[in-house]
Amino acid sequence: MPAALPSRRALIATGATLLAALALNTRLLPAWLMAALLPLATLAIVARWRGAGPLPTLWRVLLLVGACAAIAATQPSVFGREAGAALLAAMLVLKYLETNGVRDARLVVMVSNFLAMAAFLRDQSFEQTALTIALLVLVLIALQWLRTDRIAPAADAAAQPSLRDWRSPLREALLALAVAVPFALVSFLLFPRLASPLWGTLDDKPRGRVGIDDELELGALSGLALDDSPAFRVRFDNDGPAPPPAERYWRGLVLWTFDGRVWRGSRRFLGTRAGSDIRPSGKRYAYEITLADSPKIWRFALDAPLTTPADMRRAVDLQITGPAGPRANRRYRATSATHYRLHSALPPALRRSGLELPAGSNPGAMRLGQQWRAQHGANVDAIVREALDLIRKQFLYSLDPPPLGRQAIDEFLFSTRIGFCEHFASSFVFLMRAAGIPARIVTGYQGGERNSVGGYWIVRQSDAHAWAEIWIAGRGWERVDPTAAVAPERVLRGGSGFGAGSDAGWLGKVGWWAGLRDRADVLGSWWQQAVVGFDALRQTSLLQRLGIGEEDRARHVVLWVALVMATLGLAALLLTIGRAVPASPWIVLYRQYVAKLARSGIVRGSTEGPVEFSERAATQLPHQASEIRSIAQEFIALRYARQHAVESIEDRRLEALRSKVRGLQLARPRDAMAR
Amino acid sequence: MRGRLAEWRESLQRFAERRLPALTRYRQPEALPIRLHRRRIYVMPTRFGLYAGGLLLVMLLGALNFNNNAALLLTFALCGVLALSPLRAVQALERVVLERAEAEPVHVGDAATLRLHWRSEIPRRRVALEVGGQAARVRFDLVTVADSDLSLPAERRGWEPLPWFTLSSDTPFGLFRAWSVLRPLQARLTWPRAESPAASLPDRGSDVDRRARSAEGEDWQGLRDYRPGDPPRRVAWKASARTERLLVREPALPADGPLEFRWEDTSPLTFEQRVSRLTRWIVDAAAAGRRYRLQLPTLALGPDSGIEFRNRCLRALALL
Repeated sequence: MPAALPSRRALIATGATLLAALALNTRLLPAWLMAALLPLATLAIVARWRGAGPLPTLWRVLLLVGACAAIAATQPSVFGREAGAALLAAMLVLKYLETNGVRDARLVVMVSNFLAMAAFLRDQSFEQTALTIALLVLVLIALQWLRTDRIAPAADAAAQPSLRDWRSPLREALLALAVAVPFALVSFLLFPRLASPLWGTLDDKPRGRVGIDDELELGALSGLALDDSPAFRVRFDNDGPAPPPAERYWRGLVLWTFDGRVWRGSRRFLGTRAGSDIRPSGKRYAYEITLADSPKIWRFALDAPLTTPADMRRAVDLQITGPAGPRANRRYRATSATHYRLHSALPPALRRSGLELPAGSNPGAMRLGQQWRAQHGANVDAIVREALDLIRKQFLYSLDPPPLGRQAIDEFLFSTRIGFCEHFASSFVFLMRAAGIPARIVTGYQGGERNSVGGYWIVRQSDAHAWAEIWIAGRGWERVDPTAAVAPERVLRGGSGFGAGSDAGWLGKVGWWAGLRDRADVLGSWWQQAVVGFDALRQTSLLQRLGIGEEDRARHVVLWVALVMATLGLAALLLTIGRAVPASPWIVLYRQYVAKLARSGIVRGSTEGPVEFSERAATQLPHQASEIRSIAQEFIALRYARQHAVESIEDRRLEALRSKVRGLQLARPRDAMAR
Repeated sequence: MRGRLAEWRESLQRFAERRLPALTRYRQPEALPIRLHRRRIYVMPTRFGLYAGGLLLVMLLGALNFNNNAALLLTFALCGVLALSPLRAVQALERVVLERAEAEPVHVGDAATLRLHWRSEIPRRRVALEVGGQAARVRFDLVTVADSDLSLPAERRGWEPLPWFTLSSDTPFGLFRAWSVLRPLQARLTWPRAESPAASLPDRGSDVDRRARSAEGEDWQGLRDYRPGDPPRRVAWKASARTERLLVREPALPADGPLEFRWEDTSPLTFEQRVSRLTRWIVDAAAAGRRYRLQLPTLALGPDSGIEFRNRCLRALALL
């Protein structure tokens, strides 16, 4: 066979598949690579559209070397997931540039699936999955055109099949996907899962999204203020009420040590399992939290957590930790009390940590704290009032504070005076420590928004917050939120309600939009829980509900295979419907005739042809013998005699025979008459 | 070693033929029309299908390892498409009927075209099919009826049973190929090869006439190269000596009256060469529009002219 080439439209569909797979990777791949590959792929498609062939070898080699060098130079590790995806994307675009035959194009199409799959490493949301399934439609259309269209190398443009005949391939693609759905669902639920990974690259550090971390640099949290994505969702037991807005503090990390610029969490308390001396009072809240992303070690809970699940630890400073990584459970239950007394007596280790300050840093703030101490002595309330007054009168709250240098607290307190919550919290804690009051920073979230459709609360990244806790003799640790002093509405309405989030403008106030957003969030969170969170453990519990024990591997596999067979059979049945050959009219008529004779007791034997059968019927029914014989003759003629070229004559003969069969008056069966 | 392998394969095929007549149906020619039923349609993954399966396996392993459920869904959706592909391929062939097969006779050495007439029993269906087997695959679209041409080599003269060929389809995505082997109970005719370079047509009448004519006055048309079978007295010795080739004188022919193509006129040649020469004469005479008579040991045809007569003569020669 002469080397036939794929048609232009097949190459364009191939390019479109590749482009879509690239676009799905926007959040995984580095921005510079996307900025290079997307236009390159688009250009390549346009070139194909105009009939260009593959790129010359020199250019290909140059691009290849350039891409490899750039990726190796920018990625920290060539073996990481992101570097792998970047390399794959670049190679795939280059492959498309050099594509000549059907084999190359098919390779590009199939590996595009792989590239789209890589994007799931970053984002498994419902939208991402739906878009990827939509990509499959494109894949299947491209594969069909790559199969059907073969163009001779010398053919002119007129020989190219039109891009407009997309309806029938689209139908075929949708049909193929629709019948594959039951198979995919059954396999998804029942395909044996790995309880532990075969190879572990799960410690790849997630990049990009700035979450709350155990390091707090002034200005870090304000980066989150514009991130409207959910951090976690909370469902109170029995749809019970949430605490009032001013008490919606979601406690996360406790930061103890300060080096003059950055606050760090102190790991020294993580190991202490010793029960904190906590005495709750007032209402208890029981609830369930579902994290939106795979967790790092810390968890969040309503301040202050009383009980936590068995696989998590609560340190002496109430910081909760649990297993990390994509396989860790994202959902956990906890109970909290918003009114409590913590550490009536302060352990010496905590006191030491709560007063620690780096020597010589931020001398201005240090002097101010010492001055308050000298002024008010042991009157903690007076010192706190002094500090909050200072903040309230002279400071501004802003999402976009000016950057600070080495002596960050001094610069903030005495010159810029514009800050975000962490500026206020860290300055406050610094001043308290300088004044001899044990103090620490707590980071977490503050606020939350109710989803009226799903009946749960969403806490978004833009609700990220930092506040202070000080220890007062006889009262224990008390929360002081200096941000509330400068911007009380931030605390009452939460970060996302404060005007940070993208939806919080006028659009957020429109009812139907809010309703739509609530619904989308319900879908998204359902997806997170039911689909993304499905794992070996939940598969086991599903099987147990079906009566298959954990160790019963064989029955598990048999069930899966049986259901797969059933779904494939069902799909095959669906595909076969409507393909039956219509029986020809004379056959229909003949069946009627046989049935009529059978009713009067003359049953056709399975080996009897129309002639013998009719002859037997004629001898058994002498009164109708002539009619029966003529009908038989007519059948024979219609089936075997020369066909009339004119269809209307055929039709008329058939019609005549039909009326003859109908007019056949048969007596009761002979044995019945004899009786 | 190679001979042993071939022998072993042969015996395996014989065994398969005996035990699995359905699988090797092509060994028994069938009467037309041949209706394709799913019981005689076989499916295998194509090379691309195998490759796609391998890729899906890698995707599956990756998705399972990271317990990435979205990736698992994507992989299983593709697996489902893959799993149902063979069914679509078989459906493309099902209830396709080979109504007729026609092959116009050609000379040995020329390419014969086998024209196949297909019909679909399922209304409103459009399938892309390929016919091939021993020959290169040819694609065609079948809506209700369609013809397809298959190119066959013509190697022996006479009647020859049609070779087996396959009807196949890798619809819809090229992942699986379904095929059915067809071997219609029908033969095709191949005419003998026409001699080349062309021998000039023999002159009219018998050798006796010729001798008489040359006696009453030489009437030569010109000289030509010697061909085996030329009588030695026709050789132009002087001219041959000049050119160092054997040249013979060619008598001028009168343009009227039927030509005589006689088996015994080609006597010094071997059997196949004689058939070949007679074939050439008939082809040339028919092309020139002449009347001629063909005399073979077993039968005599003509004198006559025209395509139909030519075909009769060629057929007689083919079956000699």
